[in-house]
Amino acid sequence: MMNEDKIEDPKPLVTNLSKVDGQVGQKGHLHLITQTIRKISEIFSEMGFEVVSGPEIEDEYHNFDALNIPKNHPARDMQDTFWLKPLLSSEHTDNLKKLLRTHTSPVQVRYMENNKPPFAIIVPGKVFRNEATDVTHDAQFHQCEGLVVGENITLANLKETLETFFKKLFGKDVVIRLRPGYFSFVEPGVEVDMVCFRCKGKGCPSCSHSGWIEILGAGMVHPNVLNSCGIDSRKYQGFAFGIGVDRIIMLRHGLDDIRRLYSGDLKLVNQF
Amino acid sequence: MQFSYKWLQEYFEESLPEIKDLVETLTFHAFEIEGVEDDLIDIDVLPNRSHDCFCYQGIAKEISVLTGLKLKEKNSQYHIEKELKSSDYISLIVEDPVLIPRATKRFVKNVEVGLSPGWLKEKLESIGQKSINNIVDITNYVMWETGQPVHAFDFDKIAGDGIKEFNIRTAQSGEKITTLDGGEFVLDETIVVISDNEKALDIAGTKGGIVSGIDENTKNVVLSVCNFNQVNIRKTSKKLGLRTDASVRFENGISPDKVEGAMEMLTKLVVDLASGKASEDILDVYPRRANSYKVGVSIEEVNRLLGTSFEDDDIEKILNKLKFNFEKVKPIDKVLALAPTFKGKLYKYGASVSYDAPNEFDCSSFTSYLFAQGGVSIPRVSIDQYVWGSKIEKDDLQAGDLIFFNTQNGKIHTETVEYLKGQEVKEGVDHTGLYFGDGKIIHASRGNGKKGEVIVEDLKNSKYFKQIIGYRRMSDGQERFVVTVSHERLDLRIKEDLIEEIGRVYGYKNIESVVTEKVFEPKIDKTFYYINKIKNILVEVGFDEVQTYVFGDKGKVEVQKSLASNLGLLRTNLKNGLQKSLELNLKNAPVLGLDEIKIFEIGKVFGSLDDEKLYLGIGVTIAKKMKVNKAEILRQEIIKNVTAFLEKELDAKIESEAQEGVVEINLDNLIEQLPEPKSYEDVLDLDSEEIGVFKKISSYPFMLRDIAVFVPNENSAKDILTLVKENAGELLVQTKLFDTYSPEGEDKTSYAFNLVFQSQEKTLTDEEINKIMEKITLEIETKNWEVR
Repeated sequence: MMNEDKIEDPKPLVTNLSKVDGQVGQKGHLHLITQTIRKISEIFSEMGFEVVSGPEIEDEYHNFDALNIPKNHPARDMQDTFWLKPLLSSEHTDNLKKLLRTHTSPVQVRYMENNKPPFAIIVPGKVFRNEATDVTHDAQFHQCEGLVVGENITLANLKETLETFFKKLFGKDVVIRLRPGYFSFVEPGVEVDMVCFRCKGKGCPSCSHSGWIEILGAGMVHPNVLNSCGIDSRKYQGFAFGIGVDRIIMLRHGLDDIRRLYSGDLKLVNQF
Repeated sequence: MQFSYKWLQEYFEESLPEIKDLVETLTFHAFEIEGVEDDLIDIDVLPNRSHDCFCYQGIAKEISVLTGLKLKEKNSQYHIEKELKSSDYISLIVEDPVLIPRATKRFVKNVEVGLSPGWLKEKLESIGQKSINNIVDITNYVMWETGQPVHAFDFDKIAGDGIKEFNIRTAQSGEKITTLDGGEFVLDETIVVISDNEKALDIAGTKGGIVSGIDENTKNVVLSVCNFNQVNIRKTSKKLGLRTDASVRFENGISPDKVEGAMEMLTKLVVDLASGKASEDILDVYPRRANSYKVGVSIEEVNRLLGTSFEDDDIEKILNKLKFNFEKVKPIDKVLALAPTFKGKLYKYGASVSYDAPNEFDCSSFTSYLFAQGGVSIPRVSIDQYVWGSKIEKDDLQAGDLIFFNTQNGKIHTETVEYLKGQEVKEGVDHTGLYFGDGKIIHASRGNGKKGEVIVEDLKNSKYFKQIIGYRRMSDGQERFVVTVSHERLDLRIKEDLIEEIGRVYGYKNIESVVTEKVFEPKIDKTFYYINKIKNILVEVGFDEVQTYVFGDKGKVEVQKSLASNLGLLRTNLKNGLQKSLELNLKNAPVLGLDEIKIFEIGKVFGSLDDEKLYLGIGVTIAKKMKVNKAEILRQEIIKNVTAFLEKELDAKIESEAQEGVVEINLDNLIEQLPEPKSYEDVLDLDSEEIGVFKKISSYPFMLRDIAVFVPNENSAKDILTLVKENAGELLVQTKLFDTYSPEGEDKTSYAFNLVFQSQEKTLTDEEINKIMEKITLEIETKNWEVR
């Protein structure tokens, strides 16, 4: 954790509000989450995407029902939810129960409710899952989900978009592959793997010797989702994807424990 | 679920591909493989395929589709005892066909309970299941093979004389049951049980009861294969905290048509392995059998969604590979050919397309059913069909179009019900019929004939078609591939499901990437812009950004189930988190090389469920040793300056007050007063393109040493540092120049440094550091410099 600059070039002590008192001082550090979301946003902005944000407290309808995840569907098990008190119980208000969003997709739902296609958006933001924490899981983390809807948006477009994105993020020799996956808000659904950028596909401990790293889920927006949001699925179609920002950070920078990101510890922040 | 490769091999004459290749094929065309251990392949069967692939038969079928290897024909013959009738021993009553779509029972006499044969034991053991006795093992085995949970009751333990009654019903509130493994459960009226005329024998779809369990004295058994409602089983399982191999399968939803195959296999094995005498008949209560589902797709739709350029042959090849039962039809031809065959079928309001058709229809179930046969999935309700179809004028009316009508009678829909729910249709729609050409219409109505039926009549004479609202075309005229979906594939319901099947079998890697055409002008998100702008301003003046948790022990919004008792509330401020961060970093200030800890966070705080606000929190603490009051003054100064700097840079007024070194600012309010940004140019332009690599953070304490050295004026501080670094090794993690002193009239300067030592592997001792310091001192002295 030796900082080379400081050792090679010790600066005289200044109050660090350099600009304020007109002196030159040391700059601070942006958090890795910020740096990474910016990088992602920058790449997608260049590709014509709009950045959209929304609330962290959501209702059940926007987090689940509108995304074709009906109540009592096993798919709801895939996401452990932080439900918030007070819990409304009577049947008709059930889908207005409040929760901490489990993904940033409800922001996309809200966008679709209020905007007409064509559009291309990304939604970076904090999300929450009620699951035991370990080095790769935390109760809060960040996602950046994308959504493109138009008259002729195809899976081939999805593939190209992700290829371009990963090349810009990880370097131009990056290769991705799509394979079948399941998320109830898309059909077809795909899982996307990226060639392990450590070993370049040869196999190493980072990729469990497979040469590939599972990096995101994506697919073609389910017609039920479009219809729920008032978009005619006969006329419009589109693709969606979800990027785990923390996961990207761990891979890109070799971070050993996701929880360091939220520990408020400058020993992490000031490294980057 | 784990699958034994050897077990799977038994489904095929020919050899399966090697595990590695099989895994590759499954990965790219069907399922994610979680791992492989020896003979076991751990297949992640996702919810959409858990209807048919949570079992060996399903996976074997999938392998057959993907590899082209033929499935072996299995001998399903077994001996049936003539004259032995289940109905002479048992009866079966099912209370609610929604909760219990299907129930079957079969009596088997004179079984010999004993050890299972080696092959059966081996198979169960291969997937981690314990062998109990032949009957229990058989039931277990049948479930793994077919995905259909099955059960065997000891007939002689069931209450009643003569014909014993099985009643599948909801439990009484407070009713108790002890399960096979000794678990005791108190039930309620939402839980379904299989019962005799006295007591519950089994928690339906979840676990068998001990009272009727098979043991070494069992002579006669009742084989039981049922289908239960998936939502009900899921609720039961959750309520009782009892998740079993059976409940998981029912929860995922399985077809009631799986029942007979499982019953056949179960009976055969009980006859073959336990010498049972199988009765001729099976009691089967199956009141609502669903029609086969039809799903259609056109080649244009496949290509439009996947971005491919398939031709007819390609699609046909893939559908054949999938072993789908399909035909290629012109929807309108199909609809017009079928429609008149239903003349005279009875009218039933709310008739189900799945269950009542083609014997009973209402107006829109009639049209919906017809188009489904033609591979066009149109909405179920007439007003939705009206919105769904393409509008045409009366002059363009062709046979096969739908005509919509407002009867002005009873409840008229003016809003869509399911499709694009809530769309307003002012004119109101409550009836529809199929235009048959030649001025004729065919439709189902309660007013047709005596009791209401499907009739063909002249449009101009029809009493139902006086108030025509409009005409719609439901088919684009393209040929469609119409698949009759096999019963177990409950996931194939819409054209996109078929397109997925086509896409995955073809292989997504074979789809060529295509650049998305740009047709959209993105806007600038004001909040996102200013969050980043503010971060830049703060970083510019030496502040470091932190992120802390929203969960804590103080707050107003409470989570229902928290991860820990002190993490149950959502923060109402950023202060608490920032203060913790300040404390933590203050301790580490020497390692960080900081004289002041200056941090900020931007994040949401939660005043109530409806009061989510965006805050900026800025925190400062002084690490450099100085008098407490001086430090406090410095701290306040820094906060004052940084706030003023923010105001200047943003050209906005900021109302804020620092408390204990932290100032909080409501960004929602602040951003509102700021002008709309024009581009992200000044916030998204990153300085560095290089990807920094994380350096491991030591969890061991650090040690401090100071050193001051006089050097001749021709030498610099840098020279000293270079020497120190060379001799200190990798344990030296941080250095800082904290004092410079040049005695007047002398040609030398003293530089004083803080040195910070830390190991990644252990707690350092004084001796270790002293040794290093001695070495450094020695080197300095050999240069004729002077350590003070």
